[in-house]
Amino acid sequence: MKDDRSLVQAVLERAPGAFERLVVQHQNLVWHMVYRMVQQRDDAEELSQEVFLRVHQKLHQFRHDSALSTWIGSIAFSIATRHLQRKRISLVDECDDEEGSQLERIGDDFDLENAHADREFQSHVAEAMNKLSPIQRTLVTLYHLDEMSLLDIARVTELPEGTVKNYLFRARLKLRQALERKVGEPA
Amino acid sequence: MNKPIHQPMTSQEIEREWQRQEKAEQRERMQSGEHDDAAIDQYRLIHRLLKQSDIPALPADFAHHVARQQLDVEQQAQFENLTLRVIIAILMVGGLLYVAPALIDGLQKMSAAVTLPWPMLWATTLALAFAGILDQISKRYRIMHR
Repeated sequence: MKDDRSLVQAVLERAPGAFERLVVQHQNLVWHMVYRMVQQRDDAEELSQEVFLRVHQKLHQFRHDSALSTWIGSIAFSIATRHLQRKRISLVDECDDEEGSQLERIGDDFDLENAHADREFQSHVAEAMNKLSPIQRTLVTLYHLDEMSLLDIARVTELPEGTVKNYLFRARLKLRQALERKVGEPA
Repeated sequence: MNKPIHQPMTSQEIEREWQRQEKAEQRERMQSGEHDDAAIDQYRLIHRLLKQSDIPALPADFAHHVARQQLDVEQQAQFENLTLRVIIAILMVGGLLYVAPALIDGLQKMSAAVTLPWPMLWATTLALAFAGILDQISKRYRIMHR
């Protein structure tokens, strides 16, 4: 938080290189979020640039009541969401919100050590990720790749923490189901 | 191998599954060697695979490019602001030149009536008020587009 303050101050005072430093520090978070939501490299790159230009424009409004990364993440999320709305792409699948009905039990027989050796799992899980709704892909990425807490994810997405937990739970279960199908395939 | 059993999960099962997901996450972060539950192992593998992200890398000069773009945007905004001020000034001078004869004539008649010592005083006051209003409009425009 202290580092956030000094960096924000430096950008507001137009210190040379300060804004570039801010971008370097937060570009991965923004890129992961935006890319996961829009799934198109060119669009994601353009939107990520837009996010940082908006950050610069609005930085004087940042009140330090959350981490700078959370604030920047929320700007990235709103810009990517608006992009999806313009393209009429739904952020959530209808079944994302249905209580319990779509959740199926999965068997528990699995050999982790053998699975490690199989690089095909990587592409299989990546494929399964692409089939998730934009919001589920984003939450899984923020939680697992960027190691954000549920509370911070809730702040970034402006969703209740319970909803974040629900989407994350369903997303991971779907990934596990996809993995299970892969394990079930004959070699 | 196991196939999904096509039955909806109960709330207890959902809670138990969530606990497995979270335990897998913790074990991965702690790099624990425990293997007591196949489901947890599956979630651990998912966690590992998600860590090896398939997201393409950003261009190496992304931050530099964005910083330069931001400077361009700022310079363009300054240029637009300057242009706006120049246009306002030209309009003001042009407007004053256009209405000046009629204004002076009217003020002379008025000054004759109210015996003001210097009729241009009215014109100056009006021009200053007009400039003040335009300046306020310009400031509001800048704030709106900041």
